[in-house]
Amino acid sequence: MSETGTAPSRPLHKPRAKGVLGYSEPAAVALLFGVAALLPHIPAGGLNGPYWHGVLTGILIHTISAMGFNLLVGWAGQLGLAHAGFFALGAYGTTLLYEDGVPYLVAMVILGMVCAVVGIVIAFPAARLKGFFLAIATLAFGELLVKLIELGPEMWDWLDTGASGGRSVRTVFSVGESNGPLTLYFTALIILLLTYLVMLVLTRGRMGRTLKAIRDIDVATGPIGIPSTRYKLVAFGISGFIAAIAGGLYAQDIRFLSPASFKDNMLVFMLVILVLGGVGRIWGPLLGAMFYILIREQLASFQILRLIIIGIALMIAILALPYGFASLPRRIQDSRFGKQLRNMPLARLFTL
Amino acid sequence: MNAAPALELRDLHVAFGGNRVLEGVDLSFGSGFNGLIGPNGAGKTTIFNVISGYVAPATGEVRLAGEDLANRSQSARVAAGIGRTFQAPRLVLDATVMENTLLGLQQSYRWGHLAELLRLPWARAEERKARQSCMAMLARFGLADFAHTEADSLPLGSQKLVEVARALVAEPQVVLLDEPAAGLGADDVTVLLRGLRGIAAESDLCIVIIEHDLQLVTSLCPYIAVLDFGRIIAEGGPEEVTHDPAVIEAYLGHGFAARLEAESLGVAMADSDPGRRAD
Repeated sequence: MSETGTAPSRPLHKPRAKGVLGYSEPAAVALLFGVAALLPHIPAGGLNGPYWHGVLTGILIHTISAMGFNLLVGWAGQLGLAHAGFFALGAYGTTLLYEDGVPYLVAMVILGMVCAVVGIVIAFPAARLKGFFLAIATLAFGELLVKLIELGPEMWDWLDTGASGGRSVRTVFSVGESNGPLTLYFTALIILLLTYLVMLVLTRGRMGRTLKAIRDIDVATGPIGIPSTRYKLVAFGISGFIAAIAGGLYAQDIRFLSPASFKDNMLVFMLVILVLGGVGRIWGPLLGAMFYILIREQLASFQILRLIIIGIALMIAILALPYGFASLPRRIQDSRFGKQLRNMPLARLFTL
Repeated sequence: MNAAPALELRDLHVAFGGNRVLEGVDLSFGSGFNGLIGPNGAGKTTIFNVISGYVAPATGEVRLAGEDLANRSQSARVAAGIGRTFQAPRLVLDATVMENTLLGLQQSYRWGHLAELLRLPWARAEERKARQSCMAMLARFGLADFAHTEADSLPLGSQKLVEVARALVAEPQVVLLDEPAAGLGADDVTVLLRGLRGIAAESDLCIVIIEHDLQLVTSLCPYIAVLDFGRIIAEGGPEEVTHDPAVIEAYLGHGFAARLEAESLGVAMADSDPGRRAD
């Protein structure tokens, strides 16, 4: 329609190149998961030892959890802070069901569905709240879930969450101490791939644009024809489901459950991963989890000082990349260096 | 096709606290262009908000093709055939023009999100078809080249055109345009009018326009209603309305008709500001 002479009066940005640095997304994703599958076998730097297996597994689990959180916060724009509560419910629930004889993966899915339903139920009142009010209400609900786990055994005999909620976990995924939790690593990797694919389809399609509309133009959604309440319920449900699945994996990872590890410090941890990686970006959770967990582990020997260093590192990261690490490729892409990079022969191999 | 008016408002009363915004508005809009004018704060946008269900009237009813909309939710009204735009464009800025336009088709999808998630062929065919209708609608407003551009890189005028395309893509019976030409350059206004006239010529669409550019309204709309302090003070053809003493007093200012004629003859008048309330 350029012949109509209606070109906007100022120059436009070119449509953004798809994928990462011009690399087509399927190629980049296949590469990423290929590397992730090889990583725990590499002898260099002790990557094939139990310590690194634990760290890498932790990164995967928190990435899955943060992906679900991201759908609610980043796409739907709902600051629902019950995520750590659902994560805890998933961890304890899956452990208890497994001990009652339910296969572990089945138990994870059951807890996922339970948390999806609970998420939808709390979303009914929560959908009427906005911003800080929503945050406070859901924060309280998440803490309530953890409190119930802690105090539940005193009230109900059947709820065997241990004294004050502290209990050990019967392991499923370990293949012997010398090998470390490799089956857990690969289970988490497959679940991450599935979560990623679900997120990809949902966020790039009708669901994604509808959720973004609820986030950005909430009051206008009704007159446009978007039943925003229904979509908020769906977002709470899906994020609850994913939180519980990640919680089930987490129980196997830490092997001892204690309510203290699911309280507000867990929620802050989740928020840091989300913000650091990039809110509303599909790869944000992975980048945030990698950065945060790696610096936390690397600085373990610094004792008290490490908290200060982490704090400063987080501040610098947020100042340098306010939209998170996931905005880095686009930053580079838009820079002069990025344009040179795209013209390099190797880059074309991956470009569609 | 003037047998039944597309949109009827009967005795609408709206009050925000003690502030009575609409006091007994009766209007009926038929197919084609209808103008709704009046000074700032007269209640024009409130009428739109009542029609689209954002504001519930204290009394009165809204009828679409004879059917009362009182119990319909906002999105059900869109499904019933009401589209609208906003004074300031409400677009998702980090989504593309295409995605923003697709939002207007939300009520016309038959397959749910599970089908979307499983990438079932019929759900994908539906999405493809939706994209085609959006592309056709964008082309009418000269935006086809920008379909895959992010909305925030478009100038305001084009953003407003995207909103108009979004409001029209679901082929509503009634579309409410809230100051569509405000902030648009001359080129964009030409595109807007050409697009709207094209659709009006092909269908029975009822277009209601709130606009302060009176030359535009009088040249476009065979029917104009004038609102002041929540009441209709005049309605009828452009000629009739612009010569009405009550309208001149409340809104146009004296000498407006002469200025309008001078302008339509191509004589530019320095201080024609019809939006100003005459004191």
